[in-house]
Amino acid sequence: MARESIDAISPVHTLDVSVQVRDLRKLRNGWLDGDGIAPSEEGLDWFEEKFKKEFPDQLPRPRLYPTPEGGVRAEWTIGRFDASLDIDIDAHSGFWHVLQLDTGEDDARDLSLDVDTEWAWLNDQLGKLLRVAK
Amino acid sequence: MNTESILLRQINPSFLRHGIPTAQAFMPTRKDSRRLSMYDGDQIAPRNAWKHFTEQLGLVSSGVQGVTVGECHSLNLRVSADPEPFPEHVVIEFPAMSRRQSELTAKALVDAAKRRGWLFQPEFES
Repeated sequence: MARESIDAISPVHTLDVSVQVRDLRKLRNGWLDGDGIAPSEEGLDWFEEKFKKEFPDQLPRPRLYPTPEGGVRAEWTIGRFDASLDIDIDAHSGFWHVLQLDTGEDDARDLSLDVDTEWAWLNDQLGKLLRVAK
Repeated sequence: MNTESILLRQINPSFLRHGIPTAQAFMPTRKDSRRLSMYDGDQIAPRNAWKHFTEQLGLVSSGVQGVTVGECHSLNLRVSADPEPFPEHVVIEFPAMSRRQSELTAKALVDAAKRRGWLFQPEFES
């Protein structure tokens, strides 16, 4: 069974996306209690390149986690908003969800992450959350 | 168990970043058949649950977080004893729900767990 884990690999905690992706590359199949598919190299290459191109520096970096299906999940905590983008790095699609933890109000949307305007929409949503949370 | 009983969840190391667990830690995987495995905190202490998980089951865990039965009920989740794998085993049963509802539920659970804080972390054991 794979024993690698992302929190153990990076002793210096950082939200630098390249560092986080590097950690994700070290996962092996079986990382989740014997299950858990390791993210593909090609998929991680696509994600890292796309994220660097489409995600502006002024927005907060997400925390990146592997998903059991071999994807990547980005999460942001912005005030009392809990936001996530569940990414299929092989199909280049994503599922956005945000929850206001005090009111229970939420929103969700499927995204096609090869489309630049979808990234612009995502960035706009995060910007709005930052403004509301201030 | 009663509504105040704490259900203990083992946190996989890959589900931690910056010391913060992902909502996925409280979301059943496809193989789980919508049942999230927990330890009944009325029957076993967090430290002993971690030891059982890592030493007897041979799995990896960065520590233990928890939610109450009442918090599960407030999200319309049933909690059931399931002593087949081991006596303290209980499950949170997720009904069939949309992806959006599943996200909302997991995020509410992990928020409750994060507010409660770590119930056991091996690195802080003396």
